[in-house]
Amino acid sequence: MIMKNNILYIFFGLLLLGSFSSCDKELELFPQDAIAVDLAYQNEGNFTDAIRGVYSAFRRDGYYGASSGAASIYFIPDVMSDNVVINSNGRRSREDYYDWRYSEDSSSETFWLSAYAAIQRCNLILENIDVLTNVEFKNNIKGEALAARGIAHFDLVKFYASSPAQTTDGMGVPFVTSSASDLRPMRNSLNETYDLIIADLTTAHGLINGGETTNGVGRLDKNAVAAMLSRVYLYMGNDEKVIEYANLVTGVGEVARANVSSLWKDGTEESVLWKVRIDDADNINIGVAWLQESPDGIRSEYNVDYELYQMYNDNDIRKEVYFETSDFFGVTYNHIVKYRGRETGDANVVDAKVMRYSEVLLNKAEAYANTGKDSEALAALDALRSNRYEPFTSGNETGQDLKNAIQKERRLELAFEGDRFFTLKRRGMAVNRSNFGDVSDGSGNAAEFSTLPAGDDKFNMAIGNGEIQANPNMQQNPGY
Amino acid sequence: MKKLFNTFFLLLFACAYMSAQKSITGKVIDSSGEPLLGANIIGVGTTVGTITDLDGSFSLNLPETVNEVEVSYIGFDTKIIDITGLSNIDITLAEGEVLSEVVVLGYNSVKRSDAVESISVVSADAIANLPITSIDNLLQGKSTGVEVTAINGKPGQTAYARVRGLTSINGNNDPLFIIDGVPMAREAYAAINPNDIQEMTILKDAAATAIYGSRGSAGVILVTTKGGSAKNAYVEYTAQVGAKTVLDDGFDLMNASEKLNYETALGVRSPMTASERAAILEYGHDWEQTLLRRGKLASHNLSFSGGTERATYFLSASRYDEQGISVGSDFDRTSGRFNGSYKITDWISVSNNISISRRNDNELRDRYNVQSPFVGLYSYNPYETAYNLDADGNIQYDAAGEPIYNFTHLGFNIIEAINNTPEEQNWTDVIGNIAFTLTPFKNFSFRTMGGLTNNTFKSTYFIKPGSILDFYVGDPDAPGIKRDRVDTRDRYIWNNVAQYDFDLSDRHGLTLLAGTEFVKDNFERLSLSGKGFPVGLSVQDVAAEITDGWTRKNEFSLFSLFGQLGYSFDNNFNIKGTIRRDGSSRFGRDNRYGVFYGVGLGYDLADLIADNGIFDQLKLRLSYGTTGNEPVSLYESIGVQDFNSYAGQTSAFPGSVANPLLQWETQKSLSGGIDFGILNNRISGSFELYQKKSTDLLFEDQLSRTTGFSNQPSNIGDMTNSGFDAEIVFSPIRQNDFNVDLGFRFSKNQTIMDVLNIDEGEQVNPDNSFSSVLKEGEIAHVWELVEYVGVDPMNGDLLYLDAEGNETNSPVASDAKILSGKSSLPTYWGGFDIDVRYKLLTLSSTFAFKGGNYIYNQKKRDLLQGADGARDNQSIEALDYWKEPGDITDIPSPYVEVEPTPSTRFLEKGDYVRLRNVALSLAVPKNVIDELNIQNISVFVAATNLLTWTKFTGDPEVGVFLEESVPTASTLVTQLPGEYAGFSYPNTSSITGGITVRF
Repeated sequence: MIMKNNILYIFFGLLLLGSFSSCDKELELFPQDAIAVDLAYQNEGNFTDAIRGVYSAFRRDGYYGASSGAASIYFIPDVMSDNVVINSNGRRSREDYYDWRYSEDSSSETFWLSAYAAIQRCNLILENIDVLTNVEFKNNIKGEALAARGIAHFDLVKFYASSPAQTTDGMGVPFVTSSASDLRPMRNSLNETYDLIIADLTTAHGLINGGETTNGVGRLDKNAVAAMLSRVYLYMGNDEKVIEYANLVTGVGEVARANVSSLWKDGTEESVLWKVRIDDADNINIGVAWLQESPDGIRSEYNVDYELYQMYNDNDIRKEVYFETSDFFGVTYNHIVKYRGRETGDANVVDAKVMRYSEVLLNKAEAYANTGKDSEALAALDALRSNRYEPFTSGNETGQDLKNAIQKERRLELAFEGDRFFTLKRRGMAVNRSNFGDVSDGSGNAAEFSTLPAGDDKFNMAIGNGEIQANPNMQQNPGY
Repeated sequence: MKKLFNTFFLLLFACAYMSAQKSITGKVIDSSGEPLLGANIIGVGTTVGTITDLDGSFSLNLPETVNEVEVSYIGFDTKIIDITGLSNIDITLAEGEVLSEVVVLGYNSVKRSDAVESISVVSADAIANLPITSIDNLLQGKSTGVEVTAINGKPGQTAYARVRGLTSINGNNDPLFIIDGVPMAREAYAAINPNDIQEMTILKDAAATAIYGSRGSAGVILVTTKGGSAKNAYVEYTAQVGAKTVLDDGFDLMNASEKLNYETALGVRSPMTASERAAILEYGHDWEQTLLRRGKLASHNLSFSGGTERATYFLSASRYDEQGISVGSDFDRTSGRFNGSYKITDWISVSNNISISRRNDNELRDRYNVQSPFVGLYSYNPYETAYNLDADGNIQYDAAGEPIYNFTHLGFNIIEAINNTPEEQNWTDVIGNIAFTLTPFKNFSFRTMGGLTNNTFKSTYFIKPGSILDFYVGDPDAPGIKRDRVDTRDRYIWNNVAQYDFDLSDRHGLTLLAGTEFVKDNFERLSLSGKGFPVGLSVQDVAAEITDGWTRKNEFSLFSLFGQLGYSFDNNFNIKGTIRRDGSSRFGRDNRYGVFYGVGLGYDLADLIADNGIFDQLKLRLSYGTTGNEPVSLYESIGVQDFNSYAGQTSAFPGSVANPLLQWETQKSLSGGIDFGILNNRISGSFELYQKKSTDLLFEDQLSRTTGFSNQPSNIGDMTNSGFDAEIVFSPIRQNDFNVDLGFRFSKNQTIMDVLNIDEGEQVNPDNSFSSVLKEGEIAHVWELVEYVGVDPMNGDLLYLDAEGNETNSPVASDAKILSGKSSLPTYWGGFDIDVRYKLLTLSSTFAFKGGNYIYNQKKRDLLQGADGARDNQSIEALDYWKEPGDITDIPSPYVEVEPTPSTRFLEKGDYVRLRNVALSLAVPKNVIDELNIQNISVFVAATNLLTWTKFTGDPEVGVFLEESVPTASTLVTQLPGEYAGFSYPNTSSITGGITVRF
C-alpha cells in the first residue's frame, strides 16, 4: 500500500505541475503570417514594405487588378463607352455596366472599397511617418503616400461624382485623411475634393525623389506625379495647369513605333510613367476582362466597335497591336488583344500601365489647342502620331480640325485603358454607340442600348448599399 | 446489454458443453402467462446455459454441484432460482425497467434513470447499414432536437447539424463531435466507419453541455465506439452493395426540337430549313443522361471482438467504395480500428482507442458555371453533341486517339474537363487516445487521458497540357498547370478527471467530479503550383516553372478547469451542478477567460404515485445553464499587418481591424421536461420545452468602406431559440415472434432576434446570406424580398409591388420588404420509425420531415430566363411565355428582365417528408446456423431517400448553394444552409443489399 501511495503522489504531483504551470502562456497565440499593427511602422524597412503595400492595393479587385467579375476601373469605362460591343458568344460579363443598368447593388462597391483601402494604407504611413529620421528617405515615402492618396481619391471622384469641367457645385467623395476604423464621413463638395487631391499631388511632387532618380518600375516618381497632375487638371478644365505639369514631365520620350507591341507585352518601359505591377504569381489575369483563349480561338467578352475599328488606318501600328481578327465558334471577330499577356508567362497577365507619356502628350495637346496655341498643340500631337504611323505625314491641322484630330488620336491611343467614358463625361458629351454588330465586318448583334444622353445620372456610379447602410452620413447620387 | 452478451456467450458454448451430470427442464413465462422465447438460463458459477424455445421451455444439463440457475431476458428483471432437489421449474419473470441502461455524458457515465440532462441516444441499430459516409449525416431524422441537412450529395460529404435551432449568426453552429473523448475536426466526420459506432449521445440542454463550456453552445454529440467483452467473442463480417441515383430535380428541360423552336421564336436563332433542322435534331440527346450515371457502392466490414476478465479488444477493418452519380466523383475509404482495455492491477487500468482512416476522392468543380457537370446538364442544349461527329454520326478522334470534344455554345466541354483537369484529394486521419484509470480506494476514480488527432489532407489539381482550361488560363509556352496542396491538422488533448461517489446514508448519495483539460490545435497548409508539364507527367519536379508556393499556419488552444457536484435522494430525486472555466487563445487578454455553469434536477414521481399500476417512469426534469461560443476565426481581437508581394518584393498592409473588446458569445438555456413510461414501458417518451438565448452574438459589423474595410468583428445582439422536443415510442404488439415498435419524434423551434445593437439602421445583412436580414423582433434571417404579383396579361411584363405597395414593372432593391415570419430556418422537424419484426423478418424504416422554411429557388430562376438566357437550355415551362395581350400565364414576355432584384417569384416553401431509410432483413433460422457453428446470419435489402413528399420544385433538402463559394471546412461552419437552392452536387437515393455473418 505504501508503494501504491507513492505512485499516486508522484502521479498527481506531475499532473498538477503539468496542467497548471504553463497554461496562460499556451493561450497567448499570434498569427504566423502577420504581425501586430503597432509593430509594423518602426523603421525604414517597415515603411518600404508598407509603401509597396499601398501599390498592391491598386491591383485589388475593382481597381486595376480585377480579372473577371468585379468592375475594374481599368476597363469598365470602356465597357460603358462607345468603344466596344458585347460579343454574343462571350460570357456576357459586366453586361449591367454595358447596359448602364448598374445600381447601388452592383459590384462597383469593390472598387470603392479597394480605393479606400489604398487610402487607409497611405494614411497609416503618413500618421507614422515621423518615426523616420532620414529626411530624404522620409520625404520620398511621404511623397509617394500623398501621391497615391491623391490618385485614389481622384479615381473615386471621377467615377462617383460629376466632372468639375461641367459643374462647379455638387458632391465629391469623402476625402479621408485618417486610418481610424470608426469613420463615417460625409461627402466633401466636388470643389473641396478636387482641391484636396491637387494639394496632395502638388505636395507629393515637391517631396518625392529629386527628379533624377526614380523609385523603380511600379512605383510613383516625380514624373508620374506631374503627369497625374496634368490629368487631374485636364478633368478640371484648367488648361494652364495641364500645360505646366505636362511640361514638368522630363527625360522621357514617346515609345517608338517599333516598340509599341513590346510596350503592351511589358517588353519595354519606354514612355511608361507609372504602372501597377502584376506578376503571374499574383493570379490576376486582367486581360480576361476582354478575352479568354480557347482551343476554338479567342473568346471575347467585348469586341471593338466596328466604327472605331475603321478609324484605325492600315499604317497605324496600333491596329495590329490592339486587335486580332480571327474566328471563334465559326464567326470572325475583331478581338481586343491589348492585354493578352506577355511574351512568356500566363495568358492575360500584364502590368496595368496607368500613366503613359502618350497621355501626357495628348493632355498637353488638348490644353494648348484649347488656349489657341495650335503650333504647340500640333507638336505634341505629332510627337505621338509620328511614333504610330508609317509612313507619317503630319496633317498640320489647325483650329477645330486640330481639336478634332487630338480627340480622335486620344480615342485611338487610349482605347481600352479606361479613358473614353471619362473623356465624354468631362466634355459633357453623350455616349452614342454605332449600330454596328459584334462580327468583324460590323454585322451581327448591335448594342441593345445605344445612347446615354449627356448629363444622364448614370454618368455617376451609385454609392454601394453597404456604404449607405453602414454610414448614415453618406449621400447617394441622384437617380439611384 | 450484459444479458445480450450472456446470450451470445451461451450460444457459443452451449453446443460444445456435453458432459451431463444433472438435468433440469422448465418453462419461462411473463407476468401475464405468455411464454418467453429466447430467455437465458445459466447455471450460477458455470458457463453452462441454454435459451428457451418458442413455448418458453428449456432443458439444461448442469454439473451436480450447481444449486442455482440465473434466468434472464431482455427487458425483464433477472432472477436467481434455487434448484436444489428440483428437476422441473416454472419461472415467471417480472418486466424490468427498460430505461435503466447507462448513458455516456461529458466526462463520465450515469444510469439513464438518474440523468437530469436532456439527452438523446442513437444506437448502432438505428444507423446500421446506411450507405452514408459521414457521422453527422447519419443522424438525420434519428433524434429529437437535432436537425440535419446534407451539405450536398457528394459522396463523403458532411452535413449541417443544428441542435435546437440556430445558436449563432456568424459564430459556430456545428455541434461539437467528440469521439471517445477526443474532439473531432469537421474534416474527419467522414473518416469514421459507421459500423464501429456503438452509440451516439446528443447533449442538448445546458445541464449536459455546460461541462463543455465554450464549445458546448451548439450542442455536443458524443460518439462512442464499440468495445470488446469477456463474455461474448465474435467475428462479424458485413458486406453491402448497391446503387445510387440522382433525386428528381423537379424540372423537365426542353428537348432538342422544343429548344430549336424556342430559340427561333425568340429570335435568338435565324429560321432554318427543314434539312438543316433535321441534321441538328438527329443527334439530340438528354444531357442528364450523358453527364450522369448510376452510382455504385460497395462496402466490406470485418470486426473482431472479445476479451478476458482483464483485457478486452475490438478490432475492425473496413472498406467503402462509391462511384458517384457523375463521372469524376469517386470516393473510397479504408479504415481500421483498435479499441482495447486492460486491467493492469486491481486499481490501475488502461484503455485505448485508435482509428486510422484513408479516404480518396475526385473533386468536381462545385461552382456556378459549366466547370460543374451539375450546371452543365442544365446549360448545354439538347441538340449539342458531346463530341464532334462525322457525317455518319460517329465520334471523331484526333491524331492521339482522343475523342474531339464539342465546345458547345459555352466554349467549354465538361466531359473533357473531368478527364483532363482532374482534382484528386485524399485524407489520412488518425484519431487515438490512451487513458489510465486509477481506482486507489473505494468509490474514487481518477482518469487521465491523452488524445491525438492528425488529419492530413492532400489535393492535386492538374490542368493537363492541351486541355480546354489550359487554353483559357494557361501559358501557351509552358502548357499544363498543377497545384498541390497539403493540409495537416494536429490536435492534442489532455484531460484529467477525478470522481468520488459516496453515500451519506442509504438515501443520500453524492458524486463529486473535478477535472482539467488542455486542447491545442495546429493547422498548416502547404501549397505549390507549377506550369509547363511534359505530357503524361505531373510531379512538380518536372515543371518548367514553379509559379507559386506558400505555407500557412495557425493554431489555437484552450485550457479549462471544471467540476461537478451531484446529489441523489432515494434514487428518485437527482440534482447536479456543473461549472467550467475556459481560457481561449482566440480572445484578447482582457476577455480570455469565460466561466460557464449548469444546474439540472430530475424527480421521478412514479414511485410516489399510489397504487402505481400505470407509470413505470414519470420523471420531471428542469435545467438551466450557460455555455459559450468561440469565434470561428482565430485572431479577431488583434489588428494585424499582413504581407504579400508587390513586383516580387515584400509588401505590408493592415489586414484586419482590431476589436480588443470582443467577448464570448454566451448561450443561456432553460429547459424543462418530463420523461415517462407506462404500461410496462410499452409507451414511453419525453416532452421537453426549452428556451435558448444567445447573447453577445458575434457578427461582422458593417463599417463605412471609407475606412478601407467593410466589416469588423463585434458583439451585436441577442437571439432566442424557443421550442419543444417531443418523442414517443410505442410498442403496440409485443409477442414472441411478432413485434411492432413505433417511434415518433417532433421538434419545434423558432429563432427570434431579440436585440440588435447596431449603430445605424434597424437591420443588417449578414455576410453569410443572400437576401435575408437580421432585425429586432423578427425571426432570424428573415427574408427581405420584393413582392411578386404576376404577369401583366396586357404586355407580358412582370409585376411587383414597390415600397409604397403600388404595382411596378421595374422594382429596385429598396422595394424589398421584410417577409415577417419567413426565413430559411426550419421551424419544425423530426422523424418517425416503423419497425416490425415477424419471426425472422425485420422491417425497419425511418421517415424524416422538416418544414416551415422558405427557399429561394435559383435553379428555377435560371431555367426561366427569357431571351437573355435562351442560349442555354431552359425548362419546358418557359414555352408558356406571354405571347399576346390577354394571355394569362406565369411566364412573362421573354424580353423582360427576369428578377431585376430578388423577389418572391422564386420563393418556395421547403416542407417535406422523406422516407429516409427503409430496410428489410431476414435472419437465417437458428437450427440452420447452429449446425454451421455460426451465431447469426442475416441478409438485408435497404433503401435511402426512396420517397419524398413535397411541394417544393426539386429536392427540398437544400444545403449549400455552391461548395466552392465556401472554400474551407471552417467557413462551411458559418454558412447559412438552405437559403438558395442552386447547383451543388445533388442528393441521391440508394438501394442496397447485403449480408451480415457473425461467428
